[in-house]
Amino acid sequence: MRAFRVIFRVTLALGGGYAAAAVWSAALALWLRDSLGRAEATVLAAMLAFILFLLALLWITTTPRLARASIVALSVTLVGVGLSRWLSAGAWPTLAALGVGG
Amino acid sequence: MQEASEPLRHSLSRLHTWVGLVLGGVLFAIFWMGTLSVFDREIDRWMMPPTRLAPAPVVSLDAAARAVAAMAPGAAQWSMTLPSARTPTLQVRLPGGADGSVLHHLDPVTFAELHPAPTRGGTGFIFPFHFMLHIDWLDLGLWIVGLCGMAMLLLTVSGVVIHKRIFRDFFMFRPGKASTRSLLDLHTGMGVLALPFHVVMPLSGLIIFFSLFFPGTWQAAFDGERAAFNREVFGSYQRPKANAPAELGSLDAMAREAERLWQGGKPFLVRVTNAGDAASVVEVRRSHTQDVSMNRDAVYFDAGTGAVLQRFESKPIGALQRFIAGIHFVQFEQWLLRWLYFAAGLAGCVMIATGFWFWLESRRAEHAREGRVGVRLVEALATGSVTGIIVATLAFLIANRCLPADSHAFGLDRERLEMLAFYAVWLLTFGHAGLRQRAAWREQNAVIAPLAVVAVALNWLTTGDYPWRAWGRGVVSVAAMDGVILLLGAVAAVVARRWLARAAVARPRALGLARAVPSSGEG
Repeated sequence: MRAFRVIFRVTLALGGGYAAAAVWSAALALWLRDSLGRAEATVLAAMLAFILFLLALLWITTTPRLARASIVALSVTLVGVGLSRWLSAGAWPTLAALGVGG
Repeated sequence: MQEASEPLRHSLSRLHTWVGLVLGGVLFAIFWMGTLSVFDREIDRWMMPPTRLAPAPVVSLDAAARAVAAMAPGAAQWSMTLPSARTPTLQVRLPGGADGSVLHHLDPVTFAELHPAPTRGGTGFIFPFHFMLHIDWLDLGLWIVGLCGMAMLLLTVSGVVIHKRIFRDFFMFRPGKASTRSLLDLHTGMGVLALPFHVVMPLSGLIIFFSLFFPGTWQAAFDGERAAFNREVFGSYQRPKANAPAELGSLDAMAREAERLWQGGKPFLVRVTNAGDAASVVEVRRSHTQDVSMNRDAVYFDAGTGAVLQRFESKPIGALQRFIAGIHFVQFEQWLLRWLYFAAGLAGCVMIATGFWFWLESRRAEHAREGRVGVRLVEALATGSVTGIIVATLAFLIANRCLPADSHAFGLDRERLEMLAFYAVWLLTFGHAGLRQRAAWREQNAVIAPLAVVAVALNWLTTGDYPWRAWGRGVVSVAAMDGVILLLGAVAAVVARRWLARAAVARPRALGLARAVPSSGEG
């Protein structure tokens, strides 16, 4: 049982942490592309993704309760997916629309 | 506050131990090869004796283009990298070979082709090993190295948090204390000494490959259009062939125009695509030897008329990414900084090795008493990863100096035979470590010392370049390479001798202990 919990936690940290960082990075790139330009938005969002991934790895591997880590990782990822889809449909006010930046 | 931080410290301590144990071997290989890659072009000079030229004046690009046309008439695409202080040859890449292109070295003054014996050298073997382990399949090597980069960041952050008195401990090296204490002191000291390096290197290494590791980001922003992403982020430019013949215009004039646009910046690479066609394009890339940033500045010219078709310069965030990449690639010509990178890389290697040794020494007795295999397994993997890769690297260099130019064996050409020497010796060191356990550390160190001397002696015998002769004729890179190899051998000899002395002290103690404690049968 202990081995299963360790393997699950490592998988959750790597897979869940990566997924959360990837979808939030995509969402950030979509949100910023109109104000910064898509090239700049992509590079900035992808660079920040590594920091997000590192924070996710640290939190998931050190948080005491595995169930809590799983729920939070899943929720954060799903919110990121939803946000990305919404932004790609142009439903979210971008920085440019708010009068900030380009 | 103290109570709240203890469970976190305990969790991070476990994380530090396990990540270090599982990935430490690969991390050492990446660090070792990365450290050597700081001098990859100097290693090239050592491994390719005909390219050991004194720094040459700037070549005429038009004359070079005529030499290329004579070498490969009708080549549709070719490029040339101009000579620099670190690479004194004119490097011409022409279509051909299994990889799609072949690199040729030309004398930058006479344009005579130089014929070094086939080898991948530092730039073709050691440097790619550092970032992709020579595992091409599905970019698996890149992903493994990426995972290790994240692991290194985790190890650094957790290492800082779990050491309660990290900066005080940094000033404490107690070589006279118990071996575990002094090993931990050395591990902490090396970690803190190069702490910014240990954070910046893995992070910048990951950021270089941002589009590989987070493809969803560019796919979302560019709606999956790879060509548009390459064009806007990396400045790539292409146009279709006109299918009408045309002559190549003056490359010297194009280079001058690029320098004018860059306000004095120098070109380092010229690439011609669709050569001989009316829609042929000449790409001139800006040198980054005088800047930390590895800029992507390029000017694209119409090959026939020399008219500027496109000029690319990164925007601020793109330029920041190129600056971060430049910190990692260390392509700028600043020798003091280059040596500091080398020293920091070695500090990282020592940190990883002492981390292994601390774990082994603090558990050795317990695992032996309980009959557990952990120490035996980790010791074999750690020895092969640490001293084994050093032995293998020396075998690679020795193979380079021993193999005849036209070597073929086992269906492999010379450059692959050199690689085979590396991998075969590396594998042997793992086998040796599995068999000899703790003694393998000492024995492999004892092997490094003579191998280092052999490598330098072979360089002397096969090229005549003993260190001070190479220094005297201006080939400082070769003299420095020899010096570093000899220093490595000397350090290995000292370490082997100290281990031998420690083993000699430990053996009678162990025997005395065995006599003092009654066996179960007697009890």
